[in-house]
Amino acid sequence: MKGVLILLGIIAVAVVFCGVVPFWLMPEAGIAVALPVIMVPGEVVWEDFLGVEGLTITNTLIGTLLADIVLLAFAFAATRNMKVVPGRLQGLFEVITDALYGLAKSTAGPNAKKIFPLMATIFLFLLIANWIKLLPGAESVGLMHCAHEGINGYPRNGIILEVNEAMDAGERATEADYEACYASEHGEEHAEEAAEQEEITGEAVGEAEPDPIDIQPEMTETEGVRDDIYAVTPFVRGAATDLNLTLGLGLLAFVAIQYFGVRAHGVSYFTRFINTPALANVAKRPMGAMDFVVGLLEIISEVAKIISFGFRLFGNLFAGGVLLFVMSFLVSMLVPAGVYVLELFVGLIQAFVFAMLLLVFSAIAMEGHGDHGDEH
Amino acid sequence: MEITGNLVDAAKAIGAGLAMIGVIGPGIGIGVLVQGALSAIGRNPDASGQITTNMILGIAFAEAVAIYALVVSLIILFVL
Repeated sequence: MKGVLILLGIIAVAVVFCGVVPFWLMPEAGIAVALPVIMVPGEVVWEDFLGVEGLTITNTLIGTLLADIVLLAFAFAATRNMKVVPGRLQGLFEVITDALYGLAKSTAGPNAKKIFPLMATIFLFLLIANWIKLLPGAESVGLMHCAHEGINGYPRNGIILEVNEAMDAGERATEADYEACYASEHGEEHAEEAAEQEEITGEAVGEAEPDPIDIQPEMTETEGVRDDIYAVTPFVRGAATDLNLTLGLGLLAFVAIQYFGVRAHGVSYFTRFINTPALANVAKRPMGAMDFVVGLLEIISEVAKIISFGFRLFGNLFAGGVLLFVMSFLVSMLVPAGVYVLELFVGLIQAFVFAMLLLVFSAIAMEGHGDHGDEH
Repeated sequence: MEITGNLVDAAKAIGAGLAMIGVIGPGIGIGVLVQGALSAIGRNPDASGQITTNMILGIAFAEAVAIYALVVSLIILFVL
């Protein structure tokens, strides 16, 4: 009897929060969930920041700086006042550091001390950067502006986008819509500016019109020009959803791996790629020729690490962001909570995987090279 | 039925969908990996910590291939 009541309660809660509220009450009030603009490059928040030409602030850069600040603040707070008997924050940091050092020790052995600082820094930074995008407001609160051509937008209601229909993907703005919106936004004084823009873009539209692939280009034209299509550019976006950061980290990891290798073995480190000793002894050991070719192939797999590092992180985090957008868009309550839990896990795992791979590759680069002949 | 709309958009959607076929391999691979790790933990529960770490590393390698497919389809959808 009690089980039946609990089941009925769960069903009632599910119906209310997954049915009634998102599909009836919220559209009724005009606050249904809008589908955000999904863009691969970081979206520009400020162009020419502080008047400096070409200094563009994207929202992924803001996310990165925020993660830096949070990490530095935590680290400062934890180490400012260190005691023999640690407080809570210091204790937390000690647990994390200890676990990471244990991991480094078990993987890299005596070399752990050299790799550990870089690996732990990257882990902590990525962990915080990945979790910052899960905070409320990240990827959703931002500058509202007229939707550019080809971007879906919604009418504006004060400071929020008005969405009065559940699962409404918005209206795709055309060039004319953007101009009309720009003109109504900036009023009379900027009318000339808008007109100038219209002239410039008018030509572009004229050129693009005889496009044979568009089956019915008039279809979009017949709906008329709207001047109220807005889109939001969020202030903060997950740092790792920008390829610039992930490929940069991949490059850093690659350089670090080579550095560790060279520091451990000197110039002879590169004989694992261009295997001259094996080639010199080819008369004695004919299989040395094979080793030489394998060494050349190693170069490719070494360079591929950059791409592998960069795209793994980017793909996971960006796909996670899109998943969050789409789940919140489809069912705005209850269901996204599960996705958030998944993303919490993915953020941790990806930070761990990045640090762990850096550790393993560095350990391989540093580990015994002198007994190379004995391996075969 | 008359087809309306932009043919390029349709082709992009189809191409992005086709690109994601590449996820089949990593899916099978991750399944095999976890199966092996679980049976290893079943045989030797004491080593579960190290097995889990190595399993996650292996999953990361297998998953990278899936992520390449995902990136291709994302590029088709949002960049091209």
